[in-house]
Amino acid sequence: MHPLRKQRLYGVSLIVLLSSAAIGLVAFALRDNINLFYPPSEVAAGNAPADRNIRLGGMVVEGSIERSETSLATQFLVTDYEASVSVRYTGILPDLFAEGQGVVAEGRLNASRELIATQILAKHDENYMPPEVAAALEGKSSAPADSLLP
Amino acid sequence: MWSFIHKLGSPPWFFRFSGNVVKWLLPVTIAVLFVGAFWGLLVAPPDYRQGNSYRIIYIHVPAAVVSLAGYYVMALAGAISLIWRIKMADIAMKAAAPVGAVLTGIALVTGAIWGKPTWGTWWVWDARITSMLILFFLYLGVVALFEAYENKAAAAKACAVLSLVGTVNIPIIYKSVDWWYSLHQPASIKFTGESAIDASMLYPLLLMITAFYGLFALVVMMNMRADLVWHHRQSSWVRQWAGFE
Amino acid sequence: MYFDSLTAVAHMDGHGIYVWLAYAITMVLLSWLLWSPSRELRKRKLWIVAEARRRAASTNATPEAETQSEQAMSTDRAQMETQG
Repeated sequence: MHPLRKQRLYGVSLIVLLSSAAIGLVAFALRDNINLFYPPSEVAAGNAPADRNIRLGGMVVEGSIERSETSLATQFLVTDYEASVSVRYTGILPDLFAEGQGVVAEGRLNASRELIATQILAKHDENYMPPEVAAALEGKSSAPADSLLP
Repeated sequence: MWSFIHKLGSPPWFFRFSGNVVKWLLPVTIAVLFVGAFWGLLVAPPDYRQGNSYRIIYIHVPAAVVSLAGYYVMALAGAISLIWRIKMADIAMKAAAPVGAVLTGIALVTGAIWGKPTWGTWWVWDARITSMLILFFLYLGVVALFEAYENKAAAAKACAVLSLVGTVNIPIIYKSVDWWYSLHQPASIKFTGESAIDASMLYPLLLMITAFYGLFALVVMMNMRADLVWHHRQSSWVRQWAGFE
Repeated sequence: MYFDSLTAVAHMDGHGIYVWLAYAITMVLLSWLLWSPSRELRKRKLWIVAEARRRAASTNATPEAETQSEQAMSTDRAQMETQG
């Protein structure tokens, strides 16, 4: 290769390497802010701030949903299979909200470390299949979809 | 192989070659696009959890996949332009940027429309969605930078540097759902191991991804052709093409 | 075919509005991507033909006419560039 072009090739490689390193370091420094939510174990360990809005993400515990008979108030447990946090929410829940499924709740922790949510988002997994296939799988095993939490 | 690459750098040769490619790629791409859309919209079964709203996957995922791959094409053209100073690489880079911007825009808009019925929100600042928005701005930045310079060689240089700096965003987008907690789910199509999407839903998706790749190649070539005749409007081969000499 | 009627296709169990909106936006944008470079190429071809005619006509003219037509050409080109 011509020496001038070789020099330019090094220049190009340097641009890519240095900018990648810079952005990689920024992402590493901001890693807590890049996470959209806290898993329940972090909240239970006291790592989530109590004085401002946070998001909590995990799976809705089977059989934990309690709905009020007179209002839209709901209470349920969110787990990452290590710890669980109770969530209270008043409002309309997304269609995909269900027991044993992923959820992201935004709100503030109260004194008893329950999340008083102002917004509930449903998180779904990467599995796509026709209803018949899902029904057939259901018959074989009822393993939880644990892929939602990396 | 090398002679083919050398020929690609020759404007009259590339113009003739791309003219032939466009002629057959255009009908094939449109046909595959319609078959894939028909299959995905009307023939494929609904999803067991999302019902019919999941059918947006057949445009959302192909647009996103090709917008990432297209960025590498643009950045590679930028590197070639910086190292070898080949005009054709500048033209390819300039041609790819608006196509990538539109595809990223499609991925973002269809993702928002899909998010509303499934997640319960149009938009959330999670790692995947935010890094895709950055990709959109990178593409727009290259488009705007080309327009901003009077001197085309300086414009190409600035755009090449910008697109090379942006390449780090591509692995970030790809791995964002594994590295950070996000609302967006991980990839359904896996290169190793079994895909998390049922075969009856996967085939139309693969068809649509192929169609979007074809479309990207097609539009980039068409943009390059429109640019080439303008750059070489005084050359005899362009005047010959236009019906003179 | 999964759906059994056209209304079912349009409605998609309540998700029709989302699905069809997403496909409509995509179709408009993809059509624009394909249409705009072909329009540009056609426009430029017309310009090149017109310019070649002008040049052919001016070869028989006086040197003064030559510079005039050069000027006309450069304004044409400026217009073309702002349009394009």
